[in-house]
Amino acid sequence: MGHLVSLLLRGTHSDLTSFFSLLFLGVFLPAAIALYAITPSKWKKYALLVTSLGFFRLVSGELVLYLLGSILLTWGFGLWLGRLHRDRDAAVKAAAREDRKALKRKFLLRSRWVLGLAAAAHIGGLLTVKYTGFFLRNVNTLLGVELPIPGFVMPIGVSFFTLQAVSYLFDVYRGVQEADGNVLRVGLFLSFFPQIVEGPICRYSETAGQLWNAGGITWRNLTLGLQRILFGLMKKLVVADRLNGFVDGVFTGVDACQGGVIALAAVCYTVQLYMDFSGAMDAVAGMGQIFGVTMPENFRRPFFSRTISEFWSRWHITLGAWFKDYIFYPVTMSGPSKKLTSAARKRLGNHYGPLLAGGVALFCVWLCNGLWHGAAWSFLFFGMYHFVLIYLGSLAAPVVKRVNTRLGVKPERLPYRIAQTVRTCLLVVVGELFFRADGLRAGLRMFRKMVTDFRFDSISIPMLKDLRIDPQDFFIVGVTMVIVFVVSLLNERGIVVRDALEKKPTALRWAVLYALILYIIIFGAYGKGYVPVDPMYANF
Amino acid sequence: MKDTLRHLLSGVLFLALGLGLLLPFSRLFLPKDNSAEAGIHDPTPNGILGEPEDTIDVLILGDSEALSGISPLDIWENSGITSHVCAGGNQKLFLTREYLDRAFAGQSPKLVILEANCLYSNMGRMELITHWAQRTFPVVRYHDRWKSLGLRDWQGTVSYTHTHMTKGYHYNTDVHPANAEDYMAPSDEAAAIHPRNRQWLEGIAEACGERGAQLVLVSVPSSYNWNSPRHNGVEALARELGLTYLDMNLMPREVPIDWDTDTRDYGNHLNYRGARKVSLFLAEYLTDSGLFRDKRQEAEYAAWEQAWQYFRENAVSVPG
Repeated sequence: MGHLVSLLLRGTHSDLTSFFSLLFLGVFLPAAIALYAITPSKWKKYALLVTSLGFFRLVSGELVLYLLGSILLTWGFGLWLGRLHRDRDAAVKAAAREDRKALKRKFLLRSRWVLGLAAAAHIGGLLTVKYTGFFLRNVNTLLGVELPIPGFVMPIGVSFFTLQAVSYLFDVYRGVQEADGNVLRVGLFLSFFPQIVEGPICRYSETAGQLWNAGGITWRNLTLGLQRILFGLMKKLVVADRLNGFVDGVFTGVDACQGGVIALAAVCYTVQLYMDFSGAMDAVAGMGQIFGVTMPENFRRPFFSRTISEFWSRWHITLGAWFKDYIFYPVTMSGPSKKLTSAARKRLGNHYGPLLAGGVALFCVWLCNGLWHGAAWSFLFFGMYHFVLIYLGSLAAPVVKRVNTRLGVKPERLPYRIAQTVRTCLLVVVGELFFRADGLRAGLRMFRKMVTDFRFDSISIPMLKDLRIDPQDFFIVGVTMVIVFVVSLLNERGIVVRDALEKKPTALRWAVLYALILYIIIFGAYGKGYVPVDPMYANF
Repeated sequence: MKDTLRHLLSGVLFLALGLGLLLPFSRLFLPKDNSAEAGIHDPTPNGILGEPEDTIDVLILGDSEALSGISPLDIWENSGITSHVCAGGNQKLFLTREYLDRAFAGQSPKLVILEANCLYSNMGRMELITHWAQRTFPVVRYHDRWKSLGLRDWQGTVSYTHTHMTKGYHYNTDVHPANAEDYMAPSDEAAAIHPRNRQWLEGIAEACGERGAQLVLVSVPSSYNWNSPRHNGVEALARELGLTYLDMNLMPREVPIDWDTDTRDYGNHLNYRGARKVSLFLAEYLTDSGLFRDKRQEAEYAAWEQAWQYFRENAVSVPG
């Protein structure tokens, strides 16, 4: 505990950002669980808040002030909005019937101002620390000037807790969420330590109450939570970190690689990203369960998707849902959009009509999605790539349907579904290639090589060894992917392996757990010859 | 309460069984020879495991300063005393202790030299935990050997056959001069040694005492790493623990390092020219100690003479 306190005072202990580091799993988490367990019931919420703020202080040092500022702003603006709602209700109640509409309108405008101010404070902060450099670099290039580029330090998780804060304020503005007068509850909602590094992006209604009212640690929650963390550890250590050397070698040495190798690296990167991010989400869900909190799931077997649109409803679900609720719907439901839709519907029909205004909203969503991932043209391209794919998919849907009917193709049959899934996976891999590439130009160069210089025989064992991977590594990655695939398949069919295992005899249960632990110890990519890989989504 | 106790017991049993399960896997994954081909990490310092039993007079421990600055074959040539360097780059004291214990398992050195630079290399608690796990359960350290497990691994017979050509010394003849003017300018300051390092040093001294080996602290010349405050810090600690401390940075007559020609990386480490000067001094010091006999003419030690000849014939340049 003394060590932890001294670390706390020192700050910026970056090892802790990885939930799978020894410091986090071996010291911080047990200490957090112990503190929570020994704290009397009515104080547990405060223990969780102190632990969460302490965690942020450990990771980000003085930048904890940014988080504290965000908490205060969220709470304050929330109360302001809530007060406006109450004033409106009282004024409307007291007003004559004919004046009510105007009154409502007046309060709506005021609420919008407050919401705008709140969003500007939060998003403005995010834009400043995250995008100033990108903006100024482009201004310098375009205008041939040399404006100084400030080097802002970005607090860890800023993109995640900012979106949570904005979602809460939006919900209060819309009246679907009561403004919370308890600043500590708002603070715990924004700062809960498992979610702050890589999400998921929670809604106030989902976790704030659960966190505040979380009870004691039960044996069942503890064991099931630890099992989920273990499963995430397997994804991260056995697959994601094992592929890292190869992926890194290809993406930083593109010129020396042929198309076949680049294609393999793009596939490996997609697998790496999935295993890294979903592994971290397993850890978050596991930690949540230990503290009695059900965290929203961020992945739902994304590689089973048949379309890109479906993929994004299964991959980083909470981000997609955020964009849908706070960008897509507000844009499509805005006055001009509605007018555009009804005008377009008359001319283009019921399918294509709404797609016009929908397209504008979709464009905004994917512009923001690209930028959210990072301040670079490659991320913008990544967003636009998905916008085009999804939009084209919507535009082509009636045509595809007609062609299928004419050809007698039944979309629900397995071969068709498999073909769709494979196609979607390939499109995802191409997108991830641009996402990982060192800039848009590098991405385009890699894509060109992949298409024009693709040969299977460019992938040889000596070449792979040069890139710090060998067939045995691929074998173990393949075996682990099969394990994850089977677990996913069972989940898809409503069978949760941990729950099923819980009902089995102790000997069998322990044997499975020991097998998993040994599997990670033996086949994990750690120790000599491996570099610990930071969580891949922690910098977004 | 009953449930809590049951759960606690069940947790402890699960952990105990799990740790027990690691033991057979550790036996399986432990390299069965001490060569790089057999999968051992750091085959250079581990070369000592292949030396015939009780043939090493002096054990040399430390970090890259020891590795680059002391040549056992040059000590042999000039004194007939056998020694082995068990050191690695940035080696921390927990690993030093592991090498010491490993060496004591097969050797009975009368003198143990510890190069003092590693006393200033701090050890984090996480590093210590990781090292403890690796040492207790070799499967944690050697897990990556799943790719190369053979029949011998399943049989479990360990036999160390590899000896290192230069007895743990890292031969290098690069020359990158150092500007070493006044790097040992006198000072009253004493650089503090972390209490944890001190504790580990005490443990090493105790282990040496139990085996009847004399522990000597030395500082190999390094204009980059060494200075008077560090000298003062080590000297004070050595005095407190009753250990001999030889600082060759302050012995320009006995160890005449020329910083224009004797360093391979701007004063950080010595090259072979510098290491030979250090080794000649140590050969004399060890001979004068009266603890060792000259074994150059003994048939049992013919391999040492061969090693020296091989080194001399194959080394790029051995200063006269």
